[in-house]
Amino acid sequence: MTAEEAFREHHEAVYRFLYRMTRSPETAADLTQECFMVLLQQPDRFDPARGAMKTYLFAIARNLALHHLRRERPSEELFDDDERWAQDSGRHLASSIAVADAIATLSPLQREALILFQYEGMTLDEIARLTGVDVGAVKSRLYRARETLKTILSPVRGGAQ
Amino acid sequence: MMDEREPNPLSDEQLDELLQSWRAPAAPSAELHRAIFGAPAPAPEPWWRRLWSWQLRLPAPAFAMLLLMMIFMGWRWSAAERRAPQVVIEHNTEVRTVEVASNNPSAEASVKPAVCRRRPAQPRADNSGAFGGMRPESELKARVIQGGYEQN
Repeated sequence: MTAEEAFREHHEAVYRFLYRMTRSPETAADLTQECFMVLLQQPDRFDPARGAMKTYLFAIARNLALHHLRRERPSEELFDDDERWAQDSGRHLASSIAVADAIATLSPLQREALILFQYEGMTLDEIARLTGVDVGAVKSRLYRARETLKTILSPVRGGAQ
Repeated sequence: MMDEREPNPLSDEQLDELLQSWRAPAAPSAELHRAIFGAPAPAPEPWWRRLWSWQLRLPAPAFAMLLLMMIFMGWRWSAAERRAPQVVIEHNTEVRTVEVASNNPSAEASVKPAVCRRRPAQPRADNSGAFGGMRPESELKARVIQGGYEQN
């Protein structure tokens, strides 16, 4: 698979993941570009025997996102981005922002586990391989993330009904 | 008096439903492609060009089998061509000049037709008649066989 084919197939998913990790469309675009530049400049680093192209790209994206989160702190303007992207109005918009805020309070490792499982449809095995931990650790991160979100988001219950 | 009741945590179903409300924007594909590959994403090729550059991946054993089958069929066809009888019809025309003024037919002026066969003609069976090889018997010698019927 060439870099261009990989881009065509996976750039949307990589971008979505990075957007949810960073909550900034601009940062997500920058990091997506950086992710595919790594693939373009060092194509030999991808070993099909070790996993699928998607897993490899998400591993790069994850490292970039965690590196970014260590450097930057979420800024106020990100709230506006959520408003800009939410298509619905009223209660749905409120719940969407609340969810984004709630997920932002999770630790980066819990956040990535939740995003990969909940939004990108990855299996526990895939997440474990991607993050370099065993399946038990992934389950634990997911469980703790969900329990935290259940508590934080309970006042927004109306939006879920 | 303060209300110390905390809201009950959400159920799994309620949480899943809430999580789905957070949508991500579409990726800026054209900008990203231009930034990474230095050119905008190419337009999709027309169908005839895709057909022209169509490729088929064939496992090596299947290809070898196909090749062997084609060689075998080619050999069979050429062998059948060689076995088929070749009929050659030859027309020989001989021109002789005959002097008409002398009104004396020349002995040499005869044209002898000749039939050329590639294969020797098969000897033909004698079809002169059903009784061709038989001759009338001048004297009959009768012989009586005793015993009658035999039992099996």
